[in-house]
Amino acid sequence: MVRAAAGDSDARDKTLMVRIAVGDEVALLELIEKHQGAVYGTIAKMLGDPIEAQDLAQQVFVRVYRAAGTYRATAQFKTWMFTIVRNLVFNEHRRRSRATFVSLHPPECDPGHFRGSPALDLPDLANKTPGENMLRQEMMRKVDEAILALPEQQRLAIVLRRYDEFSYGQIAEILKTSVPATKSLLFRARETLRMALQDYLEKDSLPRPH
Amino acid sequence: MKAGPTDHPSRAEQPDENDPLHDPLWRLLARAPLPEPDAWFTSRALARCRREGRGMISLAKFSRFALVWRWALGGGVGLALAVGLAIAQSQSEKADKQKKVQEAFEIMASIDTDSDSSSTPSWQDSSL
Repeated sequence: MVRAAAGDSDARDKTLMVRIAVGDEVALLELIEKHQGAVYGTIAKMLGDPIEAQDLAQQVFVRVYRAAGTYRATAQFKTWMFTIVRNLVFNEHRRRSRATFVSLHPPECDPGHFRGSPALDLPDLANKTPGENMLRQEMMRKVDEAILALPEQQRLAIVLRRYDEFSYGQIAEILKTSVPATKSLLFRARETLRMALQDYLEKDSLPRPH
Repeated sequence: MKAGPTDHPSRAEQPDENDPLHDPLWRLLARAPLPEPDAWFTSRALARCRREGRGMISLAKFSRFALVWRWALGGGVGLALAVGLAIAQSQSEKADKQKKVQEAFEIMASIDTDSDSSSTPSWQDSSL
């Protein structure tokens, strides 16, 4: 059932790409609206910088638009698109590793480690007390920090698997590696995260999501 | 706020060492969902595609046209070459023929000249 829905979704994406290739902007709009959450969210999770994530996510859609004319539906559209995401994110990592950044603010003035993400900063005031909200935000910050501390391949593998719900085969295709290597990457990432988030895993007093 | 991944994705119904059912780590990660883009993301992305992608789309259209008609284009070039070669060959044959005729006339002219000059040798000329 889920696989059939995924197949329908992929067929729709490919139809949209054919329409985009002949200059149909309505199709482009539909494609952006459909995938912007996954693309932006994955990039933001990978970089920890929402401003840079906006820019890179836009670049992904520009590349998709440019490639529409020569696009061949040999693989799933989403896998192909996330290969673009991977290339841009890893290029950004390399660019950052070459550059030296000096913060204008001391670390304690940094408004949340995951800077400026409105979706994460907004407290859920309807159901939680201020104390619970603070604990929840602290926990989310720690999870994001732990993910950001992973090596880039492991980080992308865990984000694609946990948040975007890709299969091992698809992740292997995106990371240009084999399925056993992908499983190994995920295993190591899980072990590292388990160590980093041990405190949160031990105390099971966190508020459950609704 | 985006709900993020479910605690029990349908895929996890199958046993898997990397995301087993009821894994506390998997549940913990689900509580820090993917951030969402702001409300203006779609329009900004669309505007950027229009600005930066337009030329490439035209190029892609041409390349797609060229790809579809590559056999016809190849055939056309081949035909033009064949016609060109045939014309060049007929031109050179014509030139050869003209040259041969010209040579024949020159030989005939030289024979006439020889016979004229040998008909009255100077020692037989009575006027001397």
